[in-house]
Amino acid sequence: MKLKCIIVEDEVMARKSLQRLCEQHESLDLVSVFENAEDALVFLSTEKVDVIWLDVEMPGLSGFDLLENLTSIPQVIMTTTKIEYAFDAYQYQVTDYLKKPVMLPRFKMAVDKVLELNARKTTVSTQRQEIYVKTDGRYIRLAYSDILYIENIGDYVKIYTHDNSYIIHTTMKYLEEKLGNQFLRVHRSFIVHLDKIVDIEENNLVIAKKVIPISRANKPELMNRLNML
Amino acid sequence: MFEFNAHLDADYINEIYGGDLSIVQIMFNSFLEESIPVWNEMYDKIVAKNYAEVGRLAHQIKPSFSMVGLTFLHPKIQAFETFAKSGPAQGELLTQYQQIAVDVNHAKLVIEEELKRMEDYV
Repeated sequence: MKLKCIIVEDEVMARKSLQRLCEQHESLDLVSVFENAEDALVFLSTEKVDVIWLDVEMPGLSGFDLLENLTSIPQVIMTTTKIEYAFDAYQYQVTDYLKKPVMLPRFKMAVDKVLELNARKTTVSTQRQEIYVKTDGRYIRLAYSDILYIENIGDYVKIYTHDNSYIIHTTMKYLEEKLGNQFLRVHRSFIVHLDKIVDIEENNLVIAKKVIPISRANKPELMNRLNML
Repeated sequence: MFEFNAHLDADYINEIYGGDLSIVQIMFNSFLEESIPVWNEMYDKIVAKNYAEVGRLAHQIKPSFSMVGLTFLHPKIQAFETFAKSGPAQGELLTQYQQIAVDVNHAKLVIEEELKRMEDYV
């Protein structure tokens, strides 16, 4: 199955080049091309895609602004002429970050990354509802139902249960994909188990007395996923 | 394998497009249709002393030069952009523009010629 993708790029030659590369790749289905982030945002409010090829610097909304406004962020490959944005891109857990002009070999590498992440995601549903985390030289089984929330701490994440917490070396993006739809990223630094939420007030929620912030971008998705009266 | 004019950075072109001449043709056409008119428009902006716009336009078309193999022009356009944004004297900016314009006009002819050659080759 091909992955649906869009291109958001204001610079005409970069756009055409990327368009051609996407059209020629057997694993990609290029569904739309946008010259600005505003139009892409409107499109994404009703359409779901697997991948966004996203320019950083654009007149009006930037690529980062677009991500901030999305309720659900698919895999993102950022493209830019400046490497200075790489750190910011990392904060958004993008799949890859390419310097323009995008070279064919680098393009293929980025698509391979996308496909790999996507493959992991699609196998999750067939997996058991548990993960093993390595701590103190042992692997400890954690049932999904025991996990309260997960906090990002730099290059590590901390998984909280009622009785314990476990620090493991992985990324929020990976866990988000791995854990499936019982869990939701509500903030850049937090993934929560939806069944464990006891209270939501404005831009915070509470799980086991822990107050967890909800980002503006993630709140609509959270409200959608909860069984609201 | 198609051999590009020595004026163009063939290694760079092949690295970007992986030897796909159809995409090279698209890029060359885009360069002529999109970037060259913007380059010409910059002259009017210099005359109108709208240097911020000159800098913006230079920034806009700068990557396109590399994308058609005119890698040697990229640093010149970069320097021109920086100069335009520094609030230069009109005469100095115009002189710099005209110096680069010699290269750009020649490059335009090369790109047009290469497009014809590619059409015959494909």
